[in-house]
Amino acid sequence: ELQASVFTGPGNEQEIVVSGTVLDPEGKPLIGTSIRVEGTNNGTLTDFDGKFTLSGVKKDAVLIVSYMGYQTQEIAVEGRTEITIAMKEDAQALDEVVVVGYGTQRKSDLTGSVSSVTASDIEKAPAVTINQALQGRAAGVHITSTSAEPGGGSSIRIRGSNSISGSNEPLIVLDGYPLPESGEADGDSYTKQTANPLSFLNPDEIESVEVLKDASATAIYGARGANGVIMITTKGGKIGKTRVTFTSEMTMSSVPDFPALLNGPDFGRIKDEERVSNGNQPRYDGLDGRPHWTDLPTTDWISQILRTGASHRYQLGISGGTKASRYFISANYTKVEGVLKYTDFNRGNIRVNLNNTLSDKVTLRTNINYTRSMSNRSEEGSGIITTPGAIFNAYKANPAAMGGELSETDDENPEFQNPLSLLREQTNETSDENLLINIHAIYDLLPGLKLNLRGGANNKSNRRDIFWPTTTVQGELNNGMAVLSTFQFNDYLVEAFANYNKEFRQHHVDIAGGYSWQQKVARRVNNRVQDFPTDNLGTDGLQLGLLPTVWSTSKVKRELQSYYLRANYNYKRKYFLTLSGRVDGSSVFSENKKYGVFPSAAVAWTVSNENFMKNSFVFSNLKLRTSYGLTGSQAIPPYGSLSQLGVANYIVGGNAVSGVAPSVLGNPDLEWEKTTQVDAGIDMGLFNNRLNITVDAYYKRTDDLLQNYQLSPSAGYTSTMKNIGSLENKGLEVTVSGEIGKKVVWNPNFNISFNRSEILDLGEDGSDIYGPDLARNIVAIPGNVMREGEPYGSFYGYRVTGLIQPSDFDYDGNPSIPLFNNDRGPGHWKFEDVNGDGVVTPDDRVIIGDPNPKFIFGWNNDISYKQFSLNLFFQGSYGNEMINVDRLFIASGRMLNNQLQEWGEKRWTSENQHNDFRWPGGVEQSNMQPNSAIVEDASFIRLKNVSLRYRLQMKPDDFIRNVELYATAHNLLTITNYSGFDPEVGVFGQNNLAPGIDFASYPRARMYQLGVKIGF
Amino acid sequence: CTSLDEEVYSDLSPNNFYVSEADADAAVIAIYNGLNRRPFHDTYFTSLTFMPAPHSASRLPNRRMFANYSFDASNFQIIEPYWSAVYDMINRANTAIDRIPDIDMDETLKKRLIAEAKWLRAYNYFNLVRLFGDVPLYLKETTSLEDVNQPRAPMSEVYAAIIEDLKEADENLPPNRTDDKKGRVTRGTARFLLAKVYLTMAGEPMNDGSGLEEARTLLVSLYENKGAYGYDLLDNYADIFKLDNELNAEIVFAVQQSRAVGGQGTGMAHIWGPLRSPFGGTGQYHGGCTQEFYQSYDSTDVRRDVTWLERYTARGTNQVFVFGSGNGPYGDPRNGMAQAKYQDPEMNFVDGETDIIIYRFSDVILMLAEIENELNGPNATAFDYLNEVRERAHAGTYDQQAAATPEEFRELIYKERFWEFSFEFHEVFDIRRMGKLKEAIETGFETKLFGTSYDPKYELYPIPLSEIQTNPNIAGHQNPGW
Repeated sequence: ELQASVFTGPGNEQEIVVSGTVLDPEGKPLIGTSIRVEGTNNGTLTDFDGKFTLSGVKKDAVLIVSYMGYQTQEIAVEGRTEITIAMKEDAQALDEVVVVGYGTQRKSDLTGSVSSVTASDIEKAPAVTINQALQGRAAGVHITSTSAEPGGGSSIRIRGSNSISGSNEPLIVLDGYPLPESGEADGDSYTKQTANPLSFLNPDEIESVEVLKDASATAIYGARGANGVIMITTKGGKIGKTRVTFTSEMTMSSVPDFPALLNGPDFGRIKDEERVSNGNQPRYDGLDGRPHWTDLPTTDWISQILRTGASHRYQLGISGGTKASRYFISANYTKVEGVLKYTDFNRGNIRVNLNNTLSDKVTLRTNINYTRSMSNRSEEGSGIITTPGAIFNAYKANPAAMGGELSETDDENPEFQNPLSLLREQTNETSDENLLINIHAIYDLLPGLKLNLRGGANNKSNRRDIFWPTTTVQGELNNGMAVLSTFQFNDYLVEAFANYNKEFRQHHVDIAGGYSWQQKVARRVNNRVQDFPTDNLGTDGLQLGLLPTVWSTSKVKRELQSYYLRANYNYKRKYFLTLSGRVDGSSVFSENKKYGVFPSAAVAWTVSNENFMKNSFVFSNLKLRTSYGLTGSQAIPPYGSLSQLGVANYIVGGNAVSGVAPSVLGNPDLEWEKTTQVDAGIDMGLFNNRLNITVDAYYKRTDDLLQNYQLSPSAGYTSTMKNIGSLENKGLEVTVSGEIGKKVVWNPNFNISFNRSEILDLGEDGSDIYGPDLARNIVAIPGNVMREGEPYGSFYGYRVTGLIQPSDFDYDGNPSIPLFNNDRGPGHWKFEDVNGDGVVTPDDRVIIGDPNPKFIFGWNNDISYKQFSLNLFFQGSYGNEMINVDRLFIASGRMLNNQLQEWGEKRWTSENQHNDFRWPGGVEQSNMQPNSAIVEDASFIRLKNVSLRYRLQMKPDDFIRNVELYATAHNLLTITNYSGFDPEVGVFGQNNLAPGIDFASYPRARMYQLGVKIGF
Repeated sequence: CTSLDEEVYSDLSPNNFYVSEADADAAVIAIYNGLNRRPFHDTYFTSLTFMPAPHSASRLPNRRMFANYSFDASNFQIIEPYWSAVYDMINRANTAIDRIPDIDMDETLKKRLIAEAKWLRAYNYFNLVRLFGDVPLYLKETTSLEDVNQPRAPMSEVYAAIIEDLKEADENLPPNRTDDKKGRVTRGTARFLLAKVYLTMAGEPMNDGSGLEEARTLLVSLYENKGAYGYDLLDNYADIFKLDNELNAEIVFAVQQSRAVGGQGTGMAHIWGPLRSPFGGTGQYHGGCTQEFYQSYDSTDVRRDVTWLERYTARGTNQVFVFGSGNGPYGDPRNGMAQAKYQDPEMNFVDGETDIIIYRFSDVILMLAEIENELNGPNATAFDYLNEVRERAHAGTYDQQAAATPEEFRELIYKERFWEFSFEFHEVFDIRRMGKLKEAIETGFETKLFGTSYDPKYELYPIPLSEIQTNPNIAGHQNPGW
């Protein structure tokens, strides 16, 4: 072409002035459309009326007309001076632009594995947090909500878990700002539900979400890329007049069915059976003035503490702009009432996104978000016997507690805590403020070369207020008890990078590279004070308390300094090569191991762009890609390489005297955890891209695992941070999407992900790593283990072979079976003596289950007809098991708490001698141990959302631009064999070592929403 | 660009500590701190020392297993954390002993602080060697991964180290402490412990009586100069344990507890008291003694009802619970009668003020009686010592016919020590050193219920599995039978 223009010469006589109008598919003018003469720098944008004028256009020139979200068109001028161009919506996802680290890429140019979720996907099922919205939407992304409480947390796993001691949460990059790990104020919790790091983000403001999965895509984030990267982009203003969108929505949350517990009479009757068999006197036999069990009252404590919650959401968006200045301003208020009485979540936020063209060369992007949230909580799932959550308390409460409906005492149990009054009386608040400022300046230095400078700050401040007034058991014992903790971090980011983009002779080069520095200082304050003269002030008047028992502060700092580079190259959009890498320096490692290098490479071949495929009837797109690379993790607490001393005071002469003791043995060789990943993928578009299929297979291996390495305790330390061991994840992901029909259009999108994990090596001695104790005192035994050769986080405990029968003992009472702790109660669980030594001891514990699903899937269906659109979204998991700890308490015969009604009917008794270990019986078992009888299949399929929308037909010049009405139901239907409240919980939150544990967790609500969205 | 060097803000660094006199004191105080970190005594040490008594009974499987020997080396609720906590203290002591010499400070005080650290190190090794036999002997601070994984040292070596430490402690510790230093060890504490070490060595499994004469000399010096050491036998047994009478003249060593300082309280009364007991806390009721043992005291013996709680009125109610009456958990005689030595009605859960008494002056007298018997047979002197303790308790005194042979007198001492020191962490040590384990298992309440028969391996606890698995120099060297 270059030669042609030289020989042809300027030829002024052939140039004309072309003017015209660009219209959107509805026939309205499209403002800001780019029109460029092919092969020249001659171009312009359409004005407010969608009109443009271009001079110096050759008669045979071709105009390139492009606008984000519409198909780019090539229009031959053919000598015309007046052209009307109708834009078509870009139905082909292939040419979407996706956000990758430090830049964007055409989706069709990608060499790595990236899944996208767009605003319209998120909008279909309005959710309070983005985690909920993403659940099931992208292949390879496994999101488990760790608490169903309003605003509750979740854990996100991209292609399995890579680390044992470090975090497995992906890096979240919000508008280019890599968010620091979150955290929250320490409460009084045992399980420490980790705060949802994204709860400050209003899903209404999100334009798109990209999930970077393979090493090629994530290596640009080097030391934080091993767990995958989620790129979130918020909405921006578009050129045009001001548009105002207002959404109002109301939600009713209804309680799922809970299996019935024993009523008062049955509870009294069975409790008396226990008394009699223990040789004690019955209490409800109707003799000597004692009541008869049939006369006992019943309180259904579970239904006492649950309610139908009403929630509201108001969202206001204002956007618009000129070529020089675009703006998007959003304000939101959300209030969610929980299905547990007195629990709720309130959030308000304001976001300002600006895009200013300061000069021909300089653009400034500004994102500012401020969020404040406040929730009233009930710490469910903690399993602490003295301060349980309401659900566990309701299990514990005697259904026949004397004094009627809302009794405050139970004469059988002086520790009785009325579950409802605990919810009502106890203060349990979390409040949170999050400010994020992110300013990005872009300088167009040369054609194709952009310099970028980003500065930002993210400040979070979180506060936990817990107060037990004297009207609660805990408060009565302590004469009022207050816990006040704060957590706060200040994170700063400075980045300088360049993007270079060049096309020459079908060679396309795209390079991004630069420098980044990020620092985070986190502070904690913890206070616990007891013995208050009055309940009136609670945590607002700690000074009233006579007995401070805990007070501590901590400050930690971490710093990251990095250099990164990515080069994309392709030839004729057929052959693609990506090389990327990052050099990361992190303060958390030892002095000589601060820096790590994380390279990656990927190639792709778009077969469908080859001539021999051009006319393929079937394949409109066919692309093969593969990548290999190394990423890392630095997600350990700071100071692991340094020896430290801690406080160890003592009382001398009645006064506290200062003591200082060795607390941490530093490891001067501490370094990066490294994950190597291979990915091979294929993208297929069939029948003019009406059917799209993406398949990815991957293998990941993590070495030098960061671990709390167990030292021989005689050294005086039990552990030190060390790099030891490896594990692997391998899997397959398939996404199929399509478009069927013309008038009634059905867009199904199905994704399924398979992941298999294995612990390969845990060091020389290969000793097991155990999870946390299931409950603080009663089940003070772990239920999970990391063991070489086994899947990640396997369940661990005794294998139950049946129930102990009277026939297991001879005439003299000698057992013919091995016993655990000499528990010979008939009807109790019979544990297998695995090592055959004649008794059941902790050595007989084995792997009893697998919390990892065989596969997870999501199936989204958009069906549209005229102004109606219907969305059905199914989501599920298959083959994962759950330890249902509740069964140890409510289906084991432990009459210190209530039992399931079904247990009352099916339990083992001397009249009903069976061997079904699901329903043991007899007098209270002594072996409240994790065992195979409480491991259940937790596979499920859930109709997660059903949403029906109706868009009112408006005239283009109406004041009200559009009105949309919608009704949505969440969690409408769940098919599962799991016997608990919900197959989708994990009460240990993000604790890597304890996946798949359900213990009196917050009940998941079924929700019905009605909403209206009005645009002006 | 930035250096990425780390600065620690909320913890101290060994590189800039251990420079002043105050630092030296803090290093020693830290060792004591190891003794009052919950649940060292109320959970670990009670399980290991009290539960093996033939008269213990418990409501809880986790406690019972230490009475009926159904635990094993993998026990990570008691054996492992106890072992770790003791070695943590030993490392603290080693740190103090290694670091203090280089500090520029008053030389007398320096020696005194090192002596204090050595006493605490000896006390911990003394417990370890009696509970576990041969144990790793660390006498230097662990500063890097190269220092770990010591092999087991023979018991004789451990005892030699203990004796050396205690002799130095005897030399350099002050005979008395001013009020503001009360609770820290003194020369008397050192002599007491050294005598106890010698007496223990004379019994099973060392059978080395070579130190008995020296033990007697040490104890006589304490007995005859008790005023100088600040010791005495209180007139009233109950006064020893009163919350408003802590650090009384009877106390030789007690771990100090205070609710007013975070994490420095004990859970004793809460954990071992029955539900809503008058002793404070909620009352977890972990167990206590058998009905039979309660009845074994002389009817006039005041120690019985100071030590055990036969009946109580539940706090905040009018309900009276009587042990063994059949009513409620406390009515079931199988569960054990709760102890009564630890009482702090003001405590909430585990923040009790009651000091944990480890050694008392009446032990000086009973050890003298025992040593006299071992050296010279059951003579009048031996009986005088024994009767002095019984008289104070208002129990009937023995005449010389009560024991004609050293064996018979030993029997009297064995029983006396249960009555005098029940629930004071002596039971397992006395049973083992006096060769009574087989008898204790054959007659024990929990062992009989469970059907445990004696096995020589029960003479020692197993080395915890975590140590075996992490220390290649110990792997394969578990105590025999475990």
